[in-house]
Amino acid sequence: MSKTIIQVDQVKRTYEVKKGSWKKEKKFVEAVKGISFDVKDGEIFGLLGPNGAGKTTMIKMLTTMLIPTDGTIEVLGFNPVHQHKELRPHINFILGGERNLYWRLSAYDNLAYFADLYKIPRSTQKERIPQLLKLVELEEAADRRVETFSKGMKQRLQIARGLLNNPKILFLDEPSIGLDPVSARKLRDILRDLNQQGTTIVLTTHYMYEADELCDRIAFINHGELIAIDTPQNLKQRTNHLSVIECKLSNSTKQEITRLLEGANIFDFEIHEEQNVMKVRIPAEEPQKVVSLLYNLQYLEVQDLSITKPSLEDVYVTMVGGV
Amino acid sequence: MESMKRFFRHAVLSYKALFGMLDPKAYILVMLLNPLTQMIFFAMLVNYVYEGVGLEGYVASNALLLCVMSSVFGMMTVVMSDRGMGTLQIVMASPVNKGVLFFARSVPHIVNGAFTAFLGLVFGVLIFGVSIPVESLLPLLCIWMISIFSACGLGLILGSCSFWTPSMHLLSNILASALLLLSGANYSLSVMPSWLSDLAKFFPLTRGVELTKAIVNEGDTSQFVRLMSEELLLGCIYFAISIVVIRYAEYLARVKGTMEMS
Amino acid sequence: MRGNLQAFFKTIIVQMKLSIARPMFQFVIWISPFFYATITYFVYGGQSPEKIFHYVVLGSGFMGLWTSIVYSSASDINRERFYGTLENIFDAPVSFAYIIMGKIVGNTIWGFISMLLSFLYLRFVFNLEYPIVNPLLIGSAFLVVVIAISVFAFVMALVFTLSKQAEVLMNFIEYPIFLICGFLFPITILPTWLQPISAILPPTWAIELLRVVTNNASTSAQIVQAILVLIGITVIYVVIAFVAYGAVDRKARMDGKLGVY
Repeated sequence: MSKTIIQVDQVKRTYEVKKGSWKKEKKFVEAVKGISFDVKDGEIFGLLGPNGAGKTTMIKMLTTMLIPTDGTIEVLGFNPVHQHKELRPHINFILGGERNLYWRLSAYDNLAYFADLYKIPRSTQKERIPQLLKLVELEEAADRRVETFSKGMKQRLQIARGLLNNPKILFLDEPSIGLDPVSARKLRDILRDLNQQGTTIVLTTHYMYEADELCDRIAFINHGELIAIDTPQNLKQRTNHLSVIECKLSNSTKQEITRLLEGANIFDFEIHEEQNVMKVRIPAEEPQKVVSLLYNLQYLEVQDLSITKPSLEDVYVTMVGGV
Repeated sequence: MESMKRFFRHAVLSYKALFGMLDPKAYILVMLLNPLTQMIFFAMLVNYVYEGVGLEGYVASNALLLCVMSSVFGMMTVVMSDRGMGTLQIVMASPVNKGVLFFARSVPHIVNGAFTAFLGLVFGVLIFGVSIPVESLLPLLCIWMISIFSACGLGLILGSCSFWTPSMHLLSNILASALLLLSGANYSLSVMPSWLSDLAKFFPLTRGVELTKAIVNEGDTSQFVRLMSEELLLGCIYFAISIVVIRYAEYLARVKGTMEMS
Repeated sequence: MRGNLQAFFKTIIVQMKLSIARPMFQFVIWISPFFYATITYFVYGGQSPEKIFHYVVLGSGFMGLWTSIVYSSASDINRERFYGTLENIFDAPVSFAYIIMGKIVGNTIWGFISMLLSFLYLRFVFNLEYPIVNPLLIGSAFLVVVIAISVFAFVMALVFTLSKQAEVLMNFIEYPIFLICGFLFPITILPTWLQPISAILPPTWAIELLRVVTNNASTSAQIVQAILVLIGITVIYVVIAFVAYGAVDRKARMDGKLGVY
């Protein structure tokens, strides 16, 4: 049983928000409402939830950037609130997006700059920076200014930056935002390799498949609350009784399909229009009944019907009930 | 030793990253040519009004004032550029000591300010044909370095106000104008009402200008030690205040989450 | 014609609102006149009231006026170019000229407000003596000055529209103009090679006119001469404006290069 290296206990975080430009009324927003969980040494842990769920706030509290309004946190045995100086050298974090880099400096210089911020000795820098550049496939671009980089390149440089101090825990906040599939896959490979070498990874995302693929354990968060926490497998088991029917319906409009399905007491479904064809997704406990219903309904032309097991997204939607 | 090297490395890299006035054409225009026009203008003015009396002192004082480009506007980038780049959080959450960090960033601006001032002096001497006694050059260098150090300290305090207010353009221009007014680069402090000249004592460059005039006009170094120790102390106080302000801003950001809003 | 005039007046109002909303401009209008005035007053300290009026009061007032015009007209063109709207305005049904002129007049009005502020400040804080002048005379003089300065600013704006390089210079012509046009000291002290340049710049004659008009010792002949000189030079600049406008039109519609940033 590996040991716990992050302990979060009933943590709350409230923001004061000023509304209006004349009469500034203070409103309080509870971003995190009392969350508890722990992270084990060597695992890849995911925080999953929609925008505004409180994931970023959580990461910021874990990485010393934000002080909780209530509750306690322990990371590597340190309290991030008061022992931030001791904790910071052992962790690092990567925020999603294109900023957080100095566009006037070259890739190499950026890494050297941040290495200095982490007090990494020059001799170590000379070895480690080229290694990291190689890892993220930016060797050739090492001396080019970051302003010339594509989004994917910037993100890769961010990863290199996040690894400069060989962190015991690497935190990532929505790392694949805006990345093309190839870059996103490369990112996942790097993270997996890192993890195999012993780095604990905590990431937030709202891409379900990414969490499914990468994470050992996942926590569902919404509206600042923890909804569920388990391995992806176990989470999917919770909706094992569900199947998902996917089919294409032609010759009907969204409104017609909605009317027909609701008329048959089916209320839980999704319809997407794609090139004059309606793709419908219906989670159902008794798929056979729904299937025969679909074929029996007049005016509906069914094509390409399939019955599958629910994905993590379906689990999430079911458990959280949608955004 | 490693820390020293790191200090200077950061000074150089941060100048490049945050200030980036690298294009020679832009540098010459903005950092040199524009301040020079200011100096020439005021030197011509005082030459006319005072009929050449004390011209050397005024030329030298106006040259010193040219450091304001770096001490106020350059120093602002030390704090504010990170916000523009989006790197502020990462920098603040890194292990390095923030006081040392911001002081390292200030060093290139102190040097830049001195460079601009001396260049101004050279031009002033050439254009106005005044002579600066050779033996005053070394004391002048000393006085100027200390004064510019002090001015940069005040500039850093102003820069750290950027955490609270968006009107930095306005504030920096006010400070630059105030320094020109209060330093007495173009008149003797005695023409100012006493409350104003008392106020000027709390600002940088006032003592530097006074000493510059004394040394260049009359070779009088008697006040050197007293005034320069005061200026040095003032500069140290400014830097200390700015570090406290920056640390407080960092703490507030962690408590209120305000840095998050940017 | 009616549409143009309407747009002209509307632009003035809009421009005035836009400009004053910008913090830098607020500094230029509300704050820097006090610095200019105070510094200039300290320099001129014990000199004659006449000198003080001509150089401290009129001079520092003009410094504020000039800064506000330079600061806004060029940076406005730059902003439009940057946002890519320069071509849009140019091709709009209302003549570009009216729009630019509207902007300039708007900023000039603010400049005069700042000048007034500095006059009041110097009068009441330092108890300076102001000469008494026939209001009609001073009023007409100011009118001619406004027109002259606006025309000059218009020409400058056109030059900036034509050339990005020229625009860079905008940042650096504050002090040189103060110097060459003799705001704070007579142009006679300038080196001889510089004086012809002073002579061809309208602000030189504008401030000279105000000095002549407020000098109780001036003869009517001198006053008339000063007015005519300023009107004359303004006319020359109007001609230049037409020529420059033609060039801008060509560059925009024939070369298609107006938007090059």
